[in-house]
Amino acid sequence: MKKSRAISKEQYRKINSYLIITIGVLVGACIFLGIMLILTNQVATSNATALEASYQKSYYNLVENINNAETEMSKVLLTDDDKYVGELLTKVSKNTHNAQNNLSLLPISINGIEESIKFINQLGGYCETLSKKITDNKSITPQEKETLQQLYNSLLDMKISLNKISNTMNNKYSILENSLNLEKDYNDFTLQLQAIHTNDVEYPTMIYDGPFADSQITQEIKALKNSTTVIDEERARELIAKLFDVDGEITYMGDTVHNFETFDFTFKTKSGNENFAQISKTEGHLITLAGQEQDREPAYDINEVMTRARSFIAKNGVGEVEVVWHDIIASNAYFNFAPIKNGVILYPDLIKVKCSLATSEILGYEARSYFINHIERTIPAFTISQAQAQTKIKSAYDIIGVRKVLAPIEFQEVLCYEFECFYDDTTYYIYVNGVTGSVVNILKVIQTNDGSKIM
Amino acid sequence: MKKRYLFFTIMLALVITFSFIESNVQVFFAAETIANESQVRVVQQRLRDWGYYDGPVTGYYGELTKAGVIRFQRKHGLNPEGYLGELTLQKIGINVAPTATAVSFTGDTPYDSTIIRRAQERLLNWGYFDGPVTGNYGPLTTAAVVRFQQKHGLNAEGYLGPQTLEKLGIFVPASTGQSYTNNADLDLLARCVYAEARGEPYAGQVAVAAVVLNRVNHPSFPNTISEVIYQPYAFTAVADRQIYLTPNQAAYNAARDALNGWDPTYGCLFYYNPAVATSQWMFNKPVATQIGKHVFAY
Repeated sequence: MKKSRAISKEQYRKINSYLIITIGVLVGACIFLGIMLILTNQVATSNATALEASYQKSYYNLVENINNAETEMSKVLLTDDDKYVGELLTKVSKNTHNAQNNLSLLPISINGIEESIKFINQLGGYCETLSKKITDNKSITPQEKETLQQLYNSLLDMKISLNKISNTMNNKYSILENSLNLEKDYNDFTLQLQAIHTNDVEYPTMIYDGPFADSQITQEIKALKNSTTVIDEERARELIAKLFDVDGEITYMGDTVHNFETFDFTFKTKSGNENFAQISKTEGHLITLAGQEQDREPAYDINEVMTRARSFIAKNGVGEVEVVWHDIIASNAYFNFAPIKNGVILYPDLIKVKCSLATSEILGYEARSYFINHIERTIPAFTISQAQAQTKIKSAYDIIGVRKVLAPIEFQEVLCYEFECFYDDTTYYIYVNGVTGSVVNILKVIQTNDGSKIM
Repeated sequence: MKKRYLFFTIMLALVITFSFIESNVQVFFAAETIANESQVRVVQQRLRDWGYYDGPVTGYYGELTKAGVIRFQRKHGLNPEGYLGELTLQKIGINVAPTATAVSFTGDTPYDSTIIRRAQERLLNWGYFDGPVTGNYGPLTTAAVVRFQQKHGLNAEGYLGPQTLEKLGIFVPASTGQSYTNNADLDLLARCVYAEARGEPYAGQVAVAAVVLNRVNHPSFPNTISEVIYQPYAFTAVADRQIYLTPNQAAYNAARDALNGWDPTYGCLFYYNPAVATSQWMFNKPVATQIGKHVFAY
């Protein structure tokens, strides 16, 4: 019994020391974890506070932008002085642009307030268009005045709704917290903000040609709209076989049914490139080709692939077009083709072609703009001469070239002289209206880390 | 039993502690180097090449890399604390200038590591170079440049200058003045394409980029590429941070094609993968087409 008690004491001491070590380790770990949790929590709280502040700022900016737009719009309705109306409309447009910007920064489900964003954007686009009209010495019509009145009513409703929501905001409302409470596709904040377009707000239809106009969304396909020739999938497949050096199967992937209706295929070429092609059901034209190849060393020069691109377009039956622009990016050459009528380049009817400089193969083709815009046009006569137009260009510019063009400017086709100019180490394209003689657009060629781009 | 209990308790405490440390490890080690991610990648590659490190080249300065740096520091008589500072970086051949640009060490090119990396990639693709792509202008790259210059009738000195870059199809603006700008829109769009559709066929990648651009032009959406991409809840790639991954060449090509007007969806505003999408409202949108796994709607 004694021996047994002695062993027990020994064991007791050992257990005691183990327990002390264990408790020590656990206490140490707990203290460490506690400190880390406090530090982590501090960082998280700080981040959440910063984010909430950013949301609140966007919200109050939005309220201010809408309030300002409403104030300026109310002034528009009180005067017939076109010049002043033009200034006010520009201010409305600026405020709606900022409102849209602030609205897009808030944590709102994108399907939640589509209508409100659309209204704000179109209101800005409409005001901008009317302002430009006034700048061109044209007056606002009674019908446009009526639309402005309706727009003001809707804007006023939106302002009132927003200010009501602001009362809620003043009551310690957290946008961040309410954006995390999800109700199906919406969060609480979206539901809150939806009030700006559900409280009896009716948006009038704005009929105009300008930024964000409905006419820009639902484009009709002018080149094909009167055609009754419809092809089947087999005919579309034959067209691909005719246009490309196909290696193996041409696989039908389904149809695209939107502005264009196309049969879609994938296929491989003999160079090993994977291509995706869309053939229009009406008349059977290649509308889009999207392909790419592995990066390979160029073996052809730009003129060789240009010839290849030109003969490819001829095979696709889109009439006579000429190269109006080209660029080389990495081992690909990009060409823009356009029809030329009476010596005038028709820019709206562009066809874009991408070629491999390694194989000269066609890697990309985009004829959407051509088919949307192409019609048999009567080109109006230039009423001012090139020399007269040239007087609009500052003498400091070196004029490198001049072309007659029909250019899509501000959502309209404008007959222009296109002057390619060089000034201070930079190339510019200056467009002078061939009828009015005014400068209608200036494009600057910007050098980027990925080739040049025109802005 | 009690011993076993004790052992498990200690192990549990250690596991909890270390898992917590692991989750915050980036915070701890971030202060142990002045190098940025791409410089760390170069360090890892070099230490691997020189036999001090056998881990992956990730750009992340963790325990394994630190151990490699300590081995390197011991060998070169530097303070072996694992701190990857200016002195160690210089010994590894990385010049940390105040401009924070990793310039090559040989002086055989005036360009920074980004341009050198692009040149290396192109030389690799075209069969003049067999890697690794590091962004450093070392003897292997010089030899590849010489081979390329010989083939193209250029002065075969191994100097990577504007003429050679032009032949390589790498555009480097001559001036950094008013006519130069970074193509930030293309970069951001390419990142979005890579994050959202990198496993998709090329046309599907172009289509994703086109959806972004269609939104920019549509009244119901914000009006710039960045506003559209960063609109809350618009793209999962932003929420799960994949938008910050470095895009590959295909993503850049697709983004560039979309910016040039390519749009196989003909104006679609939405896309989703029907196998994983959960938003009911999205399913009610009219479908235009399907490319790869993505359904495109408007």
